[in-house]
Amino acid sequence: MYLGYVAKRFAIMLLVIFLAVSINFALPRMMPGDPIQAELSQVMASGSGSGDITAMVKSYQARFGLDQPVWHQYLAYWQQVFSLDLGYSLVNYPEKVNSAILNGLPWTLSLLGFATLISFSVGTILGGLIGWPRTPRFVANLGSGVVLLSSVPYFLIGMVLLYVFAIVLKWFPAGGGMPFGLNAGFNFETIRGVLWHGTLPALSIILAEIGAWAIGMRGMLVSVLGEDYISLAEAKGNRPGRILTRYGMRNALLPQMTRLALALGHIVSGAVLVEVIFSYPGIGFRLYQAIQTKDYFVLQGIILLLSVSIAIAMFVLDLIYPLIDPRITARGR
Amino acid sequence: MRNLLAAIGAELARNRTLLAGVVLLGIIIAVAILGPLLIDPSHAKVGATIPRSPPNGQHWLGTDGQGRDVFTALLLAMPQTLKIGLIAGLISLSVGVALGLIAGFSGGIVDTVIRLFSDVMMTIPGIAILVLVASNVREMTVELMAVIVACLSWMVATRTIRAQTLSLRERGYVQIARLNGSSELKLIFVEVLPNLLPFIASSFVIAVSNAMLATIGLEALGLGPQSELTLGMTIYWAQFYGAIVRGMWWWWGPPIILISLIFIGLMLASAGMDGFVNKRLRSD
Amino acid sequence: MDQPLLDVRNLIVEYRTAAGPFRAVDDITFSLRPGERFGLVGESGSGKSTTILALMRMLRGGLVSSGSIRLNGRDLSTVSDRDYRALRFAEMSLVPQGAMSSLNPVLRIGEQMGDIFDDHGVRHRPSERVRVLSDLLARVGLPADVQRRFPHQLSGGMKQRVCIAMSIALKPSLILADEPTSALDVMVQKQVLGTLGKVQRELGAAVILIGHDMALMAHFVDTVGVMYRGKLVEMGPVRQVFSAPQHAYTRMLIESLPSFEKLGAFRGAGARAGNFLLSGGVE
Repeated sequence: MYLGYVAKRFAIMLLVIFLAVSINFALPRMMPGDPIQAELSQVMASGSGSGDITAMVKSYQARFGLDQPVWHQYLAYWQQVFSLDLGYSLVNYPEKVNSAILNGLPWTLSLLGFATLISFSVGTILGGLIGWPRTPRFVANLGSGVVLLSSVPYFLIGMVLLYVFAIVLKWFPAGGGMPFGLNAGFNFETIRGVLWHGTLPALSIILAEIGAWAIGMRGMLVSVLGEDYISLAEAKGNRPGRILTRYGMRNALLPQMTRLALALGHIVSGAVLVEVIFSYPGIGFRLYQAIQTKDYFVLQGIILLLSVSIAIAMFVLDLIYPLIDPRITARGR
Repeated sequence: MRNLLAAIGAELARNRTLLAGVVLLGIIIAVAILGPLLIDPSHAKVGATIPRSPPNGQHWLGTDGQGRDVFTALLLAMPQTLKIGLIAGLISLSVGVALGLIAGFSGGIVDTVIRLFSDVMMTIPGIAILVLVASNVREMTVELMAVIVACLSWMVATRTIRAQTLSLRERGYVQIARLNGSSELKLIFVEVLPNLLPFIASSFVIAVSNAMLATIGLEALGLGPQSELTLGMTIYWAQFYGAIVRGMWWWWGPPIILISLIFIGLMLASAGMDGFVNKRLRSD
Repeated sequence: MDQPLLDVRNLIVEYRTAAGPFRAVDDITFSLRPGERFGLVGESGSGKSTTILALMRMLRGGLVSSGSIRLNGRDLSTVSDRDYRALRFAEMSLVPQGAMSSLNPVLRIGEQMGDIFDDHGVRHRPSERVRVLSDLLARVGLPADVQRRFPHQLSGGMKQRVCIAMSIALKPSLILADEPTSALDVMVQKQVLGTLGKVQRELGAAVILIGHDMALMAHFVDTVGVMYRGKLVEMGPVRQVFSAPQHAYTRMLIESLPSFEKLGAFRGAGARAGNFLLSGGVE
């Protein structure tokens, strides 16, 4: 049962990755004209690129094999993806796209991981409290206020936080990942600097996300509370706290976790913009810079990375669900 | 028709969340329609005023870094942003309803393909494809923006409508109509579609909301219509010229408030409809 | 005659609706002796389930507007909500109607049974807890390893037996059984009812059985009450009600039984003294 389930999820993941790579390949070729060539020549003309441009253009034309049939190019592209060679940055030549991504990745991963963990936990608990009829009125009202915040895009909250706490109050830095000129190392100074710079970006994501999780949990809990096993738990004389947590929230948690997988793309998109607002040195800011400077290969590489890693993350989450909910494998979903 | 209006009126009287959302959205739309008629659009041109002046008697919301009057620019930007949202919402809703009905009614391999496709599209991060497409387009316009965004927000509507169609076609009266020899097409339009209206309405709100979220995100990344005024582009220019760091709150503050109000209105409407739609489900 | 175990007097339960208050239970009075089996029959919406919910103080939206309930001599209206929680399952337990959906799908059976003890201040060492639960399961004819399973790994009949085992965990003096067999097929119905009868007799608890199946009822109870539109229209020893029904609705209920069942039911009622299951074979 479990194996069949895993196989199905795995197949979907492969399909997503296949599509992502194919779209990445096809889009530039479907556009009128050749954007790569156009942009290369633009970069050359403006002289903003450095290094041996002519050689680069040649190597790209060879690599793209523009004279070869499309399926040939397509296969070559796959080979390139499999060998994890995503080419060079057009603007910061000879920086490789790989290293551009690898430099940004730890920042983004830790920012996103931390913010998602906090907002998921706090939002889930908050939603549980709002949906529980015995919760005091003022807590529920407070919760509803936070829920309203969640409808506002992340980066707009980020802009307000940036202005209030970094520009006006000057409690936190206005941008960057760590204090300027600090030699990074595993020491107290570095950790403090990183945390200090990360607070506002994380807070923007958390504030915007808490409400979304709370809404999901509240809705799920309300429907779970109508179930027969809740009535029996009440009849059994179970303590209200136990009914809420072990009988109510425990059952509402699974759909909530499923939503985590679905929301992943949304969260990543939101985080990209938060990084832009705070000039946070992650993938999102790099993507923004690549868009600004038309650094096409960096852009393509980051997009590919985002798609593939989200597909993999969703697959991993799907593997975890049956461990939380014994019903999944039984149902086969 | 009168019955439908009466039913909507009664629902609004009972459902305060929905009422709040509808009123808020109504005010926003009214301002977006009437606002541009009451102002002089030339103040929103680059260099029309003295740049970077804080709010004063002449410029109620000050001027931006390029000399636009912020108040005028906002009134002109609002209808553009709403237009993107509405067009994208309508396109994705039509696609969603069509695919959902086809999947729900034909079943079998067609259903499987449509469902798989929409599942996969939901997995691929929208912004990734949007960035790819938008960065490959030569000249971005408001309409093109709407189409691009619509391509990525039809999945929710498809799923909802498919699920509802599946449950509806098993209902007694649809079965009876089928036994009476009604054609499938007639079944869809006479028996099923009218019963889907609440779900279509709620899918529409969600689609518009998703589309606007994606639009503003793209615009903030600088991939929006560079030569047109929208709320998202206002944010982008403010960000681009460092308005936050320079303390020019009147440049980015008002569009943030407007965008927030639009999203809060959409969320209230959507939450209110959720209660309404679920109640229908329960009473059925 | 000793003091009644349960004494319900002039109980009225109302629900507020848009069209004014609706009386779901309208002035009913009955009492139970310790160990007695009392049956409440009636169609759905007749107020029999509402009566049970009122006894458990678990009415959702409903209100006991007048009348008194005394359990073991104590007036339950004086009991605070907090103390009522402690009273549930300790003095008065419930076997639910929807056994299929009454168990928490994400907790093992042992955990769901064990938390009854935990929340009523009964402590066990882990090994002792396993033994206590095994003993409870054995009483309802289930193997001890059921406590390690999840609900979806059990059949409908097994789930209902688990519910019965739970209901006797704290040795209550009254068991309320709300159509405990309605979701099961006929053979399993009789077996499960047999199990309920067995544990009830071993425990010496009184039981109120709710149902709409006159035949099944006649096999099981000593006294039967017939509810119709919120009123208790007829009540008496089961044999008497069967042989000389007074109310038109009761007559209709009995006449609607197939004659074979009627005969069996009557014989069952006549021979009643616990070994009611002529065909069940569990006892």
